[in-house]
Amino acid sequence: MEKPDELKKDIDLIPKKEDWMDPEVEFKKGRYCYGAPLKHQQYLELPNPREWQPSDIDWRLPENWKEIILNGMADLLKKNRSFRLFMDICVRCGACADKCHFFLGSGDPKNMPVLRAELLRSVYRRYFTLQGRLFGRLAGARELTIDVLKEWFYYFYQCTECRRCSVYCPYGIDTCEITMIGRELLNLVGCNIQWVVEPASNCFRTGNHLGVPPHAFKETFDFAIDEIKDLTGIKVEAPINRKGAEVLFVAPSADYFASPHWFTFLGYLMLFHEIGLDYTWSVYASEGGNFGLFHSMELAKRLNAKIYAEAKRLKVKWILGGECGHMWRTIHQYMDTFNGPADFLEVPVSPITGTRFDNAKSTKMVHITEFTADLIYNNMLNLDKTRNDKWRVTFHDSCNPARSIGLFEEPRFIIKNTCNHFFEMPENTIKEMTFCCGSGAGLGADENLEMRLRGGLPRANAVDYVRKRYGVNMLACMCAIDKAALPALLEYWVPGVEVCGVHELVGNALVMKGEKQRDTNLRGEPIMAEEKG
Amino acid sequence: MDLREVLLEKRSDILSMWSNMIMDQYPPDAAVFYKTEKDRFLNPLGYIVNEGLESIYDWLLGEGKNEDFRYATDRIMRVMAVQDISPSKAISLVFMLKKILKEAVKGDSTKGILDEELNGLYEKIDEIALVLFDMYMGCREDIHRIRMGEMRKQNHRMMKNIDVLNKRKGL
Repeated sequence: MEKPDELKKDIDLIPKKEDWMDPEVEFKKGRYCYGAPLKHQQYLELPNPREWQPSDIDWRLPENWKEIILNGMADLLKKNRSFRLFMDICVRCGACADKCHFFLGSGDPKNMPVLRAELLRSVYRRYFTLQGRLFGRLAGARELTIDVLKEWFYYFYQCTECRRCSVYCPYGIDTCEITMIGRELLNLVGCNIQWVVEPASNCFRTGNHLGVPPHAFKETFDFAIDEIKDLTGIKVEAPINRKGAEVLFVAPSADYFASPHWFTFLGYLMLFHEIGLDYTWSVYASEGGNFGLFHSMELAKRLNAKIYAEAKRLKVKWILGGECGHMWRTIHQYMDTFNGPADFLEVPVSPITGTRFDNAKSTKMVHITEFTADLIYNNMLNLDKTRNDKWRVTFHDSCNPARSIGLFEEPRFIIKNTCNHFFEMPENTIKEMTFCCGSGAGLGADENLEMRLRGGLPRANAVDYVRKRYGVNMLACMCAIDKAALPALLEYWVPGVEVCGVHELVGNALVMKGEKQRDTNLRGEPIMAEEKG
Repeated sequence: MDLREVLLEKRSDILSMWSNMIMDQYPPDAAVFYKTEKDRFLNPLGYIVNEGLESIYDWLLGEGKNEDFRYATDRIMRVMAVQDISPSKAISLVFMLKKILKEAVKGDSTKGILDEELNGLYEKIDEIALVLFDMYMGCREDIHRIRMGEMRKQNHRMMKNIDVLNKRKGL
């Protein structure tokens, strides 16, 4: 038997001295996402399809993998001027270093955005710059080896593409795009993850990430209609694939299948019924999210095209989008060059208030919080705030609506008009400085939970503050990934705080014409908080 | 001067020494940040660790409330349980305090302190180590429980709808 002194050898309290240039990663369970299943790789016709896991020692790469990556890099440098600029321009000032939630939660220096980018930049230097070719390591250049590739995979799938770091970059480097390029290169040799490839493949097959086929899509709407009837006594309409409707409504598929998204879905249906909106859902475009964006620009473009093709087929005038996160980055930042301009559509005008949404005159797509805030502003809704009195609400700015389209005030305006108790989290953790949920960009897989919990620490820490200080018990947000990820995150870090969508609060407060006495909220819970004692 | 008075007097020095020792277990680039950034929201780990150390220290000296002690120490263990930190390393934070205390009571002004008093404190530290160990393991169990719950929740709506469907069909 080993003696205490011998056993103690394994307890090492001092970190190893490492040079970041030497790649070394260990794939431990709970801290990485599983590789994509073969059938979904094949469905999307991805390169080098195979059953594969990141923890395998042999990644079964193609023989000429290095050539493929370097040629891919050369192509992308030609195609995207931003990529070359981001590779050349960084002066390593460190402004982004402490802005990543994964760095704050893990203490791993390679999660500093600057260092994560250096993993790619060092290879760029070695093969695409004179200094790198001449001076190698001295000029911060590295050979591309299998270990470097594994390190890319490890860290580019530890970035949620939330873009918090880019807010602070004095040069405006979008570090998220560096991650996107890194993932795109990995895809060239068939290294990708289940949680990205499977939803993307489902989306091609059935129209949505969850793989819900048309008849189940229709059925789930029938369930929602019945549930609303039970709650309010009113039978709402939910038109699907209706040609000639004025508006096409597109929401993330989780809204009509997952919890707590479902209650936001009920909120949409109730709202549209109440204002008599002439609209339609679509089976073909039954997904607002775009997991292609976490894979490659090509896949993002192909998925994005569906929404516009459907808008054309159904001959709608404009598109209304639900509470989704990265859908809005795709629409706002890439749509116009992917598939735009959508000049067969009209500049969106609210048929209820007459407000013209000039901000969406190019994409023709309006965010639902803009639409609802405008309804409230014009006194078109009868709202009873007391129905949300059991909730003491705070608002988490979801990364993409906040940082990609600057949507700060509209959701707050809605919450303040539907709830009596609203409390902001500290200023340096909201709006454009918001902290990510830690599960975006395809990292929300359950097998990756430990890593997600690390990344979620800064967000949860701010929630804990308002919970202690104001008794907050509800975190509102407007992103499907947030709604899926935050309940687990809060259960670990801040038990007792629940998660809801903004339109769940709207659905609760909305006084519908002809409704019966409402005793429960959309969750079926008594409207009033239970009396203490 | 008794031991308690000495330790209260040296509270801030001891706490900062203790905190630095813990932060030095992280890679140097991270340690510098954790030690220097004072904003509790921009440096949650630094804040949580320091808050936890203060509460352990005060509790040892009979100053703090039990609930504050449990809340703050649980938060430290919660952070460490999701990081690349083994249980032994996580628990070691409390043993560091023994070393620091030994040094702190060496000075001239503290000659009157009895070994018994110090030993009493060490025993309490050992007890805290046991509490921390339970907390750490509790957090690990939480992670597994939450993961299972998350998988169930993802299918929750589907299962509910299937139930409704079955009921309609009289199954």
